[in-house]
Amino acid sequence: MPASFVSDDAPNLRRRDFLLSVGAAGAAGILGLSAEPLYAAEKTASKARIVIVGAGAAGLSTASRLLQRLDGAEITLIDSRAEHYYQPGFTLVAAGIKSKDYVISRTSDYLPKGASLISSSVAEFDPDAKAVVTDKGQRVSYDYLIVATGLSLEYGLIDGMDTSMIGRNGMGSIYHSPEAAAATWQALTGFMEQGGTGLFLRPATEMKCAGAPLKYAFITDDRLRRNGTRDKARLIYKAQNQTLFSVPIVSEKVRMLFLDRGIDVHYDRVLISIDLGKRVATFQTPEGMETESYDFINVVPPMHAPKSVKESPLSWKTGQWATEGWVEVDKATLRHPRYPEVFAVGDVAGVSKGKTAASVKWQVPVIVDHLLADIRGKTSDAIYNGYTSCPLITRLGRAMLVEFDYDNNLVPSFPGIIAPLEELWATWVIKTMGLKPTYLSMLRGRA
Amino acid sequence: MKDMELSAFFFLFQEMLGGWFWPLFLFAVIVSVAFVVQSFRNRNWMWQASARVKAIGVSGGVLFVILITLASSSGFTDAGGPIDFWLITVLFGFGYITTTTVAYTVCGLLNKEQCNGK
Repeated sequence: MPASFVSDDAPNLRRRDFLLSVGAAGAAGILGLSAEPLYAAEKTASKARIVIVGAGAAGLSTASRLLQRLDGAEITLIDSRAEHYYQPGFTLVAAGIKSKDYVISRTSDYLPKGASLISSSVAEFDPDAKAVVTDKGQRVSYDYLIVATGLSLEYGLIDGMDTSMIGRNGMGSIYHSPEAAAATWQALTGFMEQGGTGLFLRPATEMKCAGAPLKYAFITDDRLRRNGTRDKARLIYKAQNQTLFSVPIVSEKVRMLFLDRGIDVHYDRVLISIDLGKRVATFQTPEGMETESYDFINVVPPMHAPKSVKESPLSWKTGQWATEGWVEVDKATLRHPRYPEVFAVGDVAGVSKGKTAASVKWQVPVIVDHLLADIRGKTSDAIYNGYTSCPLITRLGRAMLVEFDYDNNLVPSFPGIIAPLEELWATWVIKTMGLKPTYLSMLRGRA
Repeated sequence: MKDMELSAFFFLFQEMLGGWFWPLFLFAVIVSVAFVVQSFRNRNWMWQASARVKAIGVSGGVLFVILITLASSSGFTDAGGPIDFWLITVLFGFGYITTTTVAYTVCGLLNKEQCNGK
C-alpha cells in the first residue's frame, strides 16, 4: 500500500495522543506540542452513499471523520433516540458524584454539518440489496454501511426483573439509563444507612465496560466506610466465571483489592432470576441453582446485539458470538467478511474486546481509513489491535488506568509514569475531569 | 510527542471550559500583552516582584489545587503514587505562575513601585 494512504490518524499512532489529551486536563503546559493542523489531509471527492446505523458515540464519531475527509458524499445516520448519553459517566451518577444531567445531551448537538439524520430505528438489514429498512418502512440504499447500533440490554432474560422497579426495594441497575443510574444511587444511600448484604455481579455475555460492575462494588465499599457503616454490611461479588476481569493480571489485582477491602467473591455465578419483593436473587452455578438474599443489588443484564442485527445476515452464525448476535467482522479491520462494503464499530462489533468509548476512539479511524481507501480504489493497512482502556475506580478519589489489547497485553500509555495497576489520584482526575471533554471532542471528530 | 497537535488541545479545553473558554482565552491574551508591556515599562521582571505579589501567587497556587480537587470531587489526600504528588506540584506551579503574572501585571499598572520590588 502506498505510504500516502496510511492515514496520519492511524490508531497505532494515536493512542498516546488520546490519553495525553485527557491528561492535559490536569497537566496542561508540560507536554510538547506541534502546531500541525489536526486534519491536514486533502478531501476526497465522492458521491458515495454512506449509511451509518446508530448515532451514538461510534456513529457520530464516524460521521464526523468521514465528513472531514470526503467531499460530496451523502452521509446518513439512522437513530430513533434524540438524546445522547455519555455512558462512561453513568457510574459517577450512581456513585452520587454527578447528577443525571451530566450524562444527557442531544444527538443534534454533535451531528456534523453535511450529515443527515433519519429519526427511526432500523428494522431490517438487507445487505444483499445494499439497503436497510426502518421501522417506519423507509428503505434506504447505500454504497457503504457502518453498523454502529450499540447493544441491547436484555433484562427480559432475568426472570422476575422489572426495570420500573430500579431504585426501589434495594434494587439498582446502572446500565439501564441516566434515570436508573440516579435511582441506583438512591437505593445505595438507603443501603449505606441500613447495611445488610450487597450483591454485585456481571452477566455471562459480552458486555460494555466490563469494569463497571467491579467499580460499583469498590464504590459501595468506600461509601460505606465514609458513612461509618462498613461493619454493618457484607459485600459479595458474583463472578460469571473463574475470573474477575478478562485480562489475567488485572483479574489478579482486583482479587487482591477485593481481599483487602473485605469484598467476598463467589465464582461461577450467573444471575438468572430475581424476586424483587422478597429481595432474593437466584444464580446458576456449576452445581445447580443457588439463592442469595440481598439488601442491595446492582443488576447488570445480559447484553446482546439488537434484534434487527442479530436476525440479519450480518451477524455471526457460528461460534461463541452467534447466540448474542454481534456483527461478524474481521477483528483487525472491522470489515464484514462476506459483505466488504459493511463495517461494524463500537459495542455491536463482534470482536473480543472493545465495548468502550476508548475502543471507539481507536476503531473509528481504522474503518474510515479502509472506507476511504475503497473509494479511492486503493487498500489500507490500518488495523485495530483491540485496544481499550478502563479507568477502574477502586475508591472515590482513586482509580487504576488499565489499558490492554486483544492479547490481554497491558499497553500503558505512560509506562513508568502512570502505572496501570496502581491506584492513583491522577487517574481519578483524568476520569472525572478529562474524559468527558475528550469524549465530546471525539464525537466531533476532533480527538 | 510528534502526534500531539495544538488543535487537539484547543478543542479539548474548549469542551472542558464550555462558555468560559473564550472569555478566559481573551483574558489570558489581555493579561499576556499587559504583562509584556508592564515588564518593559518597568525594566523589571516578574521574579523581581514584591513579596506581596509573590504571596498572592502562592495563594493562587493553593487555590488552583483546591479548585481541581473540588472539580474532580476528590481531595489531594487521595494521592497514592509519585505521579499524584507530581500532579499536585504541577497544579500548584500553574496556579502560582498564573496568579503571580496576573497580580504582577495588575498591581504594576496600578502602582509600579510597590509591585516590582524596587
